[in-house]
Amino acid sequence: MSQSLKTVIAASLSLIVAHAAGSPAVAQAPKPGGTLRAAMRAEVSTFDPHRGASGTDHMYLYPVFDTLVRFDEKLNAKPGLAESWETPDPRTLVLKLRKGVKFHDGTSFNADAVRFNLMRAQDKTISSMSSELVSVQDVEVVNELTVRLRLRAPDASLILAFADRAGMMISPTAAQKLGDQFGRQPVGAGEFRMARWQPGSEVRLERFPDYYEPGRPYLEALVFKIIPDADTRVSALRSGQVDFIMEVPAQDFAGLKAERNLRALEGPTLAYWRVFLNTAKPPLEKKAVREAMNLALDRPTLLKTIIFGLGEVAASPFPAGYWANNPALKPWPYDPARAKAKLAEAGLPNGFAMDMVLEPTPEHVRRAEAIQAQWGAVGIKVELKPMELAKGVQAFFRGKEVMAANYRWTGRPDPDQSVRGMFHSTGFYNPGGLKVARVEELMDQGKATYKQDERRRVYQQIGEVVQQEAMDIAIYFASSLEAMSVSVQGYQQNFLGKPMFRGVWLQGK
Amino acid sequence: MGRFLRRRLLAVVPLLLLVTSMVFSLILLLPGDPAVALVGMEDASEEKLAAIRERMGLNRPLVVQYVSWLARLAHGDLGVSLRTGQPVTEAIRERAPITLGLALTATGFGLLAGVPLAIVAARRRGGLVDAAASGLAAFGVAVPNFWLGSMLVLVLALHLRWLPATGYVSPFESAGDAFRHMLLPTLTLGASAVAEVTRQLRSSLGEVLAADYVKTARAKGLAEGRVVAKHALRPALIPVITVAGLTISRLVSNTVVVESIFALPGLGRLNLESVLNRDFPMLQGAVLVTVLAVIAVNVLSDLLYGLVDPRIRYG
Repeated sequence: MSQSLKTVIAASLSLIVAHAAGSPAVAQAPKPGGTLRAAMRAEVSTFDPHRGASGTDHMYLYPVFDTLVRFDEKLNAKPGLAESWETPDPRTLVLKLRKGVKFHDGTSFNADAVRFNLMRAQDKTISSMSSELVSVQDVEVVNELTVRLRLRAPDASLILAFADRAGMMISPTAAQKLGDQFGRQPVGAGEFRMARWQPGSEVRLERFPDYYEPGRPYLEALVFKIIPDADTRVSALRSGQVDFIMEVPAQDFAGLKAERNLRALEGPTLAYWRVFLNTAKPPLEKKAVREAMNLALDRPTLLKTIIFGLGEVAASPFPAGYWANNPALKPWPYDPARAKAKLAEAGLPNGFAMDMVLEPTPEHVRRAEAIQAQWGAVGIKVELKPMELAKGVQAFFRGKEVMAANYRWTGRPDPDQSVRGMFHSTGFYNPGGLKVARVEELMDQGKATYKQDERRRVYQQIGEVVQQEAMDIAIYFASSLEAMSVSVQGYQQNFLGKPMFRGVWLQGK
Repeated sequence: MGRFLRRRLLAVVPLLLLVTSMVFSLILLLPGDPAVALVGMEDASEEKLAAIRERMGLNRPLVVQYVSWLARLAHGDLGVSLRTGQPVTEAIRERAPITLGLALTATGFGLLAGVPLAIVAARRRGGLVDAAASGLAAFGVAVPNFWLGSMLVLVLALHLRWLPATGYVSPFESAGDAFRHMLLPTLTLGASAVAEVTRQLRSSLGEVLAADYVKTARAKGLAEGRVVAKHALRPALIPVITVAGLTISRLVSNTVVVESIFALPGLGRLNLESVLNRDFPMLQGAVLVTVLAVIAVNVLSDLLYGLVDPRIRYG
């Protein structure tokens, strides 16, 4: 073979290799421009992060308001408007702020703005979320870009609270000027600014040209279409009226995934289905009864039949892969015989009767009926009480009229918020006030240290005690299901299951 | 006729008072207050709920809330949404046209398709066309909106891709787009209107066509088309007006299913969302407008009777 031929072959081979290796990279270079239309299940209640209280607001708030702290897809804290933070002692938190950041109205973001925001978030006449900042005693402006927080008690959960509403920075100028109306004409420092809100129909956000990260955001505009009906969301995506939908119904997931022009993503979340108990109502205060309830549930079958296996059987309050999870914990086995023995041990050989609230939608009803049947098999007779959410929350958590509720725990950015809510005797989601002293000691330890490794060990122990004491009736973690047109690039799911569009761009538009 | 109109309109006032006070009373029966509805499953300490209630103005006695609502209504102010802070009048201005437009186009479609169908069917009673029209009418009455809507979306939007599956476009933005977006909802909602009109007109026209004066007209040698158009149709239209009026009223208050299927931000969805969110000012406003629209349609159809059939007098 002549030298020149070899050269030609080598050259063409290297071209092929380069092409094969290079094409995905070329395809991955974000392209600016375009409008992303995303279908949302519920409308934003208000764009004022302090006044609002609805869990469905976040998707709308994230693009408009940058947060002091960000989280990655696994909910590890990352720098946001605060470039770094340190705790010189457990009751002092110092935030170093990013330089050169502007709000949409041109106001500079600085230590004074942070102070204004934190004070406003604590002001009960305005804020519905002051409880998240109870540990903050005082906010000091050290210099233009440094804030020092004095805490009443050590509070490690504060860091991730700053990735949530409490860390969403609003323009002090606009807040003072607009007052009550701020929630409809929000001004933040996020990638997008408010363009138009047509209640009931859509919210249009447009690119903020002076965003501090050069080249970001890639999209020209982000439009949220409000489509409460799940089937309608699916039709809207299939027929191309929207590019992205959240909360894909489990039964449609495989079909959407198979479509050539669509991409369907399944990702783990902190949200899990459980039975909330009011342990002040006999016989639920008995550990043996709660053990029986756990042993009588066939979780893999529930997961497979109700949501087509799109999730993970729950062993603890946290999913696999999450930093606070205890991978050594195994889910409760399905053992009806032992469940009956446990009931007999509790003095209830013939079982007992209880009532349970649930939401009156098809999937909720199917799940509750399956649980009812499995418990019925060991003698626990469940009366189902379907009620819409506002009424059910009133009946179970507030009025404490009902013994149980079959709802979803939606998850929180910091594990302390989850375990404290559900397993502390004063927790809102523990209406019977079930108290296990060991768990409460551990919770305080978990808040007192800022090191994630130490905190991990604490929450892993909490997971163990929760299982030993049968404090939780966890069923399964339901995956976050989202579907989008193949032109949507750079979208990443996160453990909170609340879509964020940072870094998203559109191909071929 | 002027006196009739005045009397009808005066009667509206007590009716509105009755309806609005009933809606306000219903608030008492709805468990779960608006503050709880707003926070949903979120951790809600009593303190936090109290702060939200205070902001919403819900800590006052219900009677006080009602009277102040009436007082503001007199000035054309319906208050603001508890949830979003949007003025209720603004929400209604944006959403009522969608629902009213939909109800009107659906009824229009019912008349355009139903009247010719009924005439053909009535003229050829017992024939193939009559059987087909009757069958179609029975289907239109029986088929539920949500099924028909889903089927139309499946075939015309998702499979054939002729029409958009969801969404609303204002006719002031783009008339063509607005038409394309409204076509499927109109067909879905209008199917029952076609059926009602066909059934009513077919039977009333059948009676009139058998009447003596029609026979006389035929005996005089008038062409059949003229007999139907000039002599039979007008008296036969009375029940059709009744049906059309009822249909519009029913459609205005029934669009919620169609609005949900096609993601139209209309009055029906506003009503439903307001109930679910316990957004009382919004609910009051939406109910008020729905009631007003229904009353207006009824008065209008009463007036139309007289225009169509001069034998009807208003006393």
